[in-house]
Amino acid sequence: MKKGDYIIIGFIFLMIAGLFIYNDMSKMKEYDQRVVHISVDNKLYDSFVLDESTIKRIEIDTEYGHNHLVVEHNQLYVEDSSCPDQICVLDGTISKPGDLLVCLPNKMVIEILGTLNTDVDEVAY
Amino acid sequence: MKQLIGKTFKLITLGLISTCILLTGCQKNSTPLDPITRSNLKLGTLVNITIHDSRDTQLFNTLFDRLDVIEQHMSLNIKESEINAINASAGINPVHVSEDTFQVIQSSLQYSDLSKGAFDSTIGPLVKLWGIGSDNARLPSQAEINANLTLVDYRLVIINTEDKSVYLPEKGMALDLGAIAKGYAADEMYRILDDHKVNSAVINLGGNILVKGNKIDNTPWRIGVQNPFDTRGAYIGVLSISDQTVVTSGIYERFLEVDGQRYHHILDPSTGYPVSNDLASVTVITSNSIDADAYSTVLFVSGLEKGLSIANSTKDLMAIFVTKDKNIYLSNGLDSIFELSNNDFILQ
Repeated sequence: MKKGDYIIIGFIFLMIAGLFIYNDMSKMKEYDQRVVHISVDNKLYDSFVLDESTIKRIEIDTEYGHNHLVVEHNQLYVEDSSCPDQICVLDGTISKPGDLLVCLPNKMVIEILGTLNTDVDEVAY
Repeated sequence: MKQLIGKTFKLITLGLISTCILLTGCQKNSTPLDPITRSNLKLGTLVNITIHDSRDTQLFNTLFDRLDVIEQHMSLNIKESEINAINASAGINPVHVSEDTFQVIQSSLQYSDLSKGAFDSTIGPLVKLWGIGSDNARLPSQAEINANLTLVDYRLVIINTEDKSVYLPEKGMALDLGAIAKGYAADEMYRILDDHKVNSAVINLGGNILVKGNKIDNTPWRIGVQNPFDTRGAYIGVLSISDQTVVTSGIYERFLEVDGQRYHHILDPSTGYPVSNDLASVTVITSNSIDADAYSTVLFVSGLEKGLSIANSTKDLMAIFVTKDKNIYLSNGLDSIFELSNNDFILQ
């Protein structure tokens, strides 16, 4: 190998190192990829990334009941539910990390994971 | 030269491929500073516990196992629970119970006494009659309410501290620990965390919040206070607290709608109907979650004026009252730790 080759190899290694550092920094800065977790009876039912392009209709049918989840325009809501109290439907749309839709009668929890909004640590309700 | 360019391309391609492999290999690496968190459905609600100064995920098993035991003992939804055994034996015989159930029943009777019945843990027959939040929710007749009202009286309960037994002397009487069992459970979570030297954690039991210590940067926790007119998670203001608990009772939580009329789940033990006053919600801030849980109901049932005076005359008890016309009243001591963030509400 010639001298030029070593320079190029060195250059590429620098680039890779740079990419690593950039990747680490950008992860800290915008680790706000939002992931939706759906669980039923404390077991994971479905999980997907939530962004502008996520358009889904999910029928959550289990032994505990039925919930119909709609995902569009960067947010999600329960359109209808077999539960008596309809709290999950009345709770409306959620979009931020930390937001929850819970249907206790059907043992279903929908949670958006990601960086928590830094304004508050929790909300007492 | 041509050869050099060819090699360069090869190297760049190789470099990029290895970069891709390496990058995908290291996604989501947790650092020691990341908090650990776990959610589970327990005690008929969503429980979330977040620990900030330990990496011991085994601890969650200890915590959730304890919640299971409390649920097994005190839940009305579990057939074999001790509370159901007591209720089934009403008018027949006393029932021996575990130490923790006895302790919670004893506390519930003390709160009932302290509030002169504004809070009454023998509200069971009325809760069942209305069934608000269950499949069988309905508007009962006045005759049914009258018949069940006679069964609601905490003063009739006979407890024996010697053999830890509880007796409901009238057939049809029923204890309902729903208003304080979550508070007791949150305090138990705190105790276990303390035993394991955890000093920075948040316990969320279906919206009842109990914070341990401070945040990892040694500043107080910031806890939002639910807006009673908005969806869950929307808050009217923020509390800055350490080693304290925040519990809210409100008309928005569970309700039944009949002919356009809303009936919420907080029943007045003196009338048998949902509490009817100017309040939309009461948020209680105190040291023990069982106190907070009981007092949020006591203050709500008592109404704004009486509630405020109870809060101001009780040691270590603070409360935020939100009225239906969106006025906010703070008890003494809250000025410095509560900041309003929603301008639809007026701080009085």
